[in-house]
Amino acid sequence: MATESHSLEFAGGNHGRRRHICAFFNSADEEHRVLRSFFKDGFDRGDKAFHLVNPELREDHLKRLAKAGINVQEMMGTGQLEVRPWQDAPLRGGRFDQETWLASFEQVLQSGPAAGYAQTRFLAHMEWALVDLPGVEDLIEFETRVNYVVPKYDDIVICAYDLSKFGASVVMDALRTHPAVIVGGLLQENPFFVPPDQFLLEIKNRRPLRRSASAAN
Amino acid sequence: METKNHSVQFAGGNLAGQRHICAFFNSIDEEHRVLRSFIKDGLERGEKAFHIVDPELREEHLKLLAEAGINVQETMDTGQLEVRRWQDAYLRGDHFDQNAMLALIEEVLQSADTAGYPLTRLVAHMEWALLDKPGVDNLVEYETRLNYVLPKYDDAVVCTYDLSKFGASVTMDILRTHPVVIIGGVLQENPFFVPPDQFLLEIKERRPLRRSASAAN
Repeated sequence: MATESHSLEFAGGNHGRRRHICAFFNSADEEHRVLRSFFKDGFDRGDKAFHLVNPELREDHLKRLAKAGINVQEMMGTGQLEVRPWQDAPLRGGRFDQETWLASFEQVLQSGPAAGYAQTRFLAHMEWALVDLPGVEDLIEFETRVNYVVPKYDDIVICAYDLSKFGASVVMDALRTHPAVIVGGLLQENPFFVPPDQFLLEIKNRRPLRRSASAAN
Repeated sequence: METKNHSVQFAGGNLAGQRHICAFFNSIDEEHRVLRSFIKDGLERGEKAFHIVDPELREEHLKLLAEAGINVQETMDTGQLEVRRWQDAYLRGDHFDQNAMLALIEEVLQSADTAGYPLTRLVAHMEWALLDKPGVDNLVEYETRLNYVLPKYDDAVVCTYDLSKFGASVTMDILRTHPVVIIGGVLQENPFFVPPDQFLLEIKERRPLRRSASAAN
């Protein structure tokens, strides 16, 4: 895009309970432009970075981090940067099991302080939910349940959605399950956020009527 | 003597100054459940109701209005309720001309005022933008430009989007072009709203990079 760099400030960690953030992008370019300081400030402050990526885009992701001035090789060597492909995380075992992944996800947040990191900056590419594997239709239920976990920690969790890949229904649900949202490169508190108790009830009520995950387009 | 009360209440919210509303639904049932009081209250207060609907859903729309306790025949006979099909509004001449449509909206609002209605409540189904017609790719530009027109009037304009039909990219743009939004049946002021000057600039900048649906324009 023609506009100059607009990278969001995440430093200070003063995001209160709004640290479960949903980020909507139209391209990897936009993603890396907007999140550059989220990545870079974190490394500079000695935070842990845990990235969950599409295995096919892993090399591209690392290349973009390097271009932003991050010493990828060294960071990965020390373990400060951990880049995990989907099949070793939410899609382990060739399926999505929300209980298992919720527990593993919490372990990631817990292992940060254990290893001496003040904060973890967690980034997840969410297109694994569009892969044709059992359980991926539980994406939204998982997202709302993440709101029980994240407030227990000081970490920042960003779920990145590629708008060119998802349908409108699931993206609106993603919007409603994150207390903070990045749209158009701006981070905002989200008035459309629905607390997990209420959202789980809604999911339960809609189940016979509406199919969960991937929608039209 | 008529008392001038232009406050508009529905979907758990009260409309302040902003009257360009976007409503996201997953079905026509949800639409009517959420908009019922908006439509009914307006008619009971002697306001004009102007609806632009999918021609294939026209009968169902009228049926749902009748089920809500609205005397459809009588209000249509007096002209208080006007239900127009896409081809007589957005798609006149079998294509979408955003300038012509902006002019039509103003005409509708002005003529209702001239006819003595204290307010107009306009509801428009927006899925015409998914039809294969010239100009429909100007949907988002049209929506942002409507923000130049509507502040001149007190009338409430609700653009409804069926989430099961649209993709995520256009839906996020729609979210960003309406100062007030209904999601999950709840009306909220929209912090993601981008004023039209700024949004038109963004559209211009993205044009070479991001392809829209049709090759026209």
